[in-house]
Amino acid sequence: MGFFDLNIPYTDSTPLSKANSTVAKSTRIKIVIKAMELGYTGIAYNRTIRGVMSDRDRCSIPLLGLSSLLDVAPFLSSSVNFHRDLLGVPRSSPFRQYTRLTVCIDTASQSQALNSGNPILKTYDIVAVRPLNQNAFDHACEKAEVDIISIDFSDKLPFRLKLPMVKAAIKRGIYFEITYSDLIVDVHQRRQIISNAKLLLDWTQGKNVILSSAAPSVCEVRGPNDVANLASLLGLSMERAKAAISKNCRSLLTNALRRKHFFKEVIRVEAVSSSRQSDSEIPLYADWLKWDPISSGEGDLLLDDMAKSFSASTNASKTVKAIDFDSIIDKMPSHGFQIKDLISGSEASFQPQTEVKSFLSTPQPIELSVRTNQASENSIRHDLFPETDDATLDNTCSEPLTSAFGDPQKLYLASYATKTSTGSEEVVTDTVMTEIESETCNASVAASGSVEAENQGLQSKKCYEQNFVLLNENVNDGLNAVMLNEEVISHQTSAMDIELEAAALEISPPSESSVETIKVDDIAVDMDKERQETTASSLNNMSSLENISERMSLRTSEDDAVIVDQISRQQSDDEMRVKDDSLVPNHENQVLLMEEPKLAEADSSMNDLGSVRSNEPCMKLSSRKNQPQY
Amino acid sequence: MVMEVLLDPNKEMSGDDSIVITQFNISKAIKDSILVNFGECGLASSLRSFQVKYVNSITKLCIIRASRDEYKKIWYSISMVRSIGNCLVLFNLLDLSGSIKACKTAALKCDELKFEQYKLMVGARLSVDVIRHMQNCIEKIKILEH
Repeated sequence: MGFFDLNIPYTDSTPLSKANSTVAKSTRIKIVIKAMELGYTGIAYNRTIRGVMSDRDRCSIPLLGLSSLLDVAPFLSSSVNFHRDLLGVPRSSPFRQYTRLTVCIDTASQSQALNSGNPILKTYDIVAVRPLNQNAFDHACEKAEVDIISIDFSDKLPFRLKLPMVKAAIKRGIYFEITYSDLIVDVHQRRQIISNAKLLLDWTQGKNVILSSAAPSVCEVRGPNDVANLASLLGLSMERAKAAISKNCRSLLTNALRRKHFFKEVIRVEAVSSSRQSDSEIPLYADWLKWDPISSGEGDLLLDDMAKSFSASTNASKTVKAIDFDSIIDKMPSHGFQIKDLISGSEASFQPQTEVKSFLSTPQPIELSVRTNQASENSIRHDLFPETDDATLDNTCSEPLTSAFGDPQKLYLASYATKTSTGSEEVVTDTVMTEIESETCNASVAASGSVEAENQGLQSKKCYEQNFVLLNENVNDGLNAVMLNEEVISHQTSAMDIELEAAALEISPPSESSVETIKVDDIAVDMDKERQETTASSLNNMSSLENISERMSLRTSEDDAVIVDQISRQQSDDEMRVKDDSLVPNHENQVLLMEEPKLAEADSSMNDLGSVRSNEPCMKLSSRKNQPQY
Repeated sequence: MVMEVLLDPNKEMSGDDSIVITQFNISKAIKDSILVNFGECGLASSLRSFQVKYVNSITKLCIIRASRDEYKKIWYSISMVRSIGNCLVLFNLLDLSGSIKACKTAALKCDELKFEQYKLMVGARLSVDVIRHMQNCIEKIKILEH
């Protein structure tokens, strides 16, 4: 269990003079080195802003590399190892760096900015709020989408801490932060801090409290044991005090990173590097099993080879960076992709089955309220749902996943038409190449993707194949997509894959007439088999209302091992159903069945399955053995 | 009874041996800190059992004794120490144990390791004096008593 110091001040990037900035940088390096030596396993650079956020406030904190640290302290590794051994921290655990923003809040309008849609906040790993008056504090406890509430205890508090507010914040999973460097620096402030902090600690009993230094210089950093002692003097038991700098920090980081990297906290999109493609023996999911829940993707310094090479570790480059949804979405044309555009690029991207395609590996529920791709006259003929330009997106779906078709490295999302008034369009369900493999690591993904599929009022056909990670269909008009409760899913086994993803589908190029070949990725199939079981169990955990899990199992003519339930889309307008989307090309023997547990929202639609209509004869409602219990 | 606290002082980055730490130095600094933080009463009750038993100025290691009742306060005060004389310092707890014997073993181990690090840092400038001094210190640890 590592120790974290989540508040190392980072001064702004607009220094008054160059000298200031170099001094600041060297101070920062020193502090980092000191923290490393003292045995901390992670730190966060904290930037404080006040007032209104602007675009300039995007995260621009440079993370320090191992080489810069070693320049200053060449014998870092031996000292680090020494202290780590004493503390009981494994020597090889990486030293992590995070970026953090603290927003000082005065007015209500500023507090409104602290929501999950704020793009500037998304550029930081951790978001903290510092309320300066009572209203701000109340809002922060109850509504703001932040990770930490950091209160400046060093002066008389401008507001009162109220127990119900504190409790509400804890319930929402927000952590309170107590900084200890002021205790060291100034004797007079010590009184204030101790009395104020004691109050907080009495109420929270150490739950959801983290301790950190806001060390202005290297002399104010203290080792983890010493900090725990400080807290125990303030009224906590030693065990809770130690947890405040280790366990609480770690769970805070897990949550914060999940919020940042995962779409709607369940699904994570990663780009698959092209170098993987040559490595077809290694199963794809081997990488997923190594998912590190508190890795921020970069800034992890691995200390193993420090002693050997004194050079920056190269392992960091292997961590796959999550694709930021926002950036993808922003680049999307508003009307969705034209299939023909996609197709042209798709030729090159076709890979043999074993190729890894981009996959959705976000454990966040994918809201597949995807804008449907513009149906085109394309030769791709799936049983497609009509595609509409303006997909009726689900209310809550703000970031539809779209497949970037021609790019093997991008995530494909099957988009499907929403119900549109125009019936005549052909739906192109997207992605010829949709291979979505979701990351299994996060079990919650599987379950909770709230996939919102838009329901199309389809006149056209019906089922189409796609790999959805999670589909949640939205009935016509903006019924709220029920978001799956991702928390339901426990995270344990990384092997939990969304079955969907397991199936890698390759759809043959549109030029082939109307036949979509679905090739099942062999690996995926195997994975599917494994995952079905795990998925089934996980599915059972899902909250009935909220969970949609999709499992796609492929049943190929030659291979019966994988079964995908497939439910065709309904074409009726009004029913809100949980649908299992079934993607089946008309002509296919191979049925890619996607099974979605139904959303109970409509609940009456639980019996929907029967009512699912499919024009396709090949549609089957496959065995429900894996159906999650609702 | 006896509470020993092993500390590793003097971890500031800015200086390099600008002051030689001795038992007296450290003791004074800690007492001042107790006075500031816990007042006369606190100082008085801790003083009864407070003692700096061993200091190694090369590896900057020291063993501090305190009673089981008061050790937390003393530990806190030690953490609050910012400077010894004019020199900025930083105390870091390495080991906390309840008997002198356990402290001795821990201290020996830490001393060895720290001395290795010191040798690395000093490199070629290692002098015989220093080595001899280290030997003396290690002997001192071994004869430390309650």
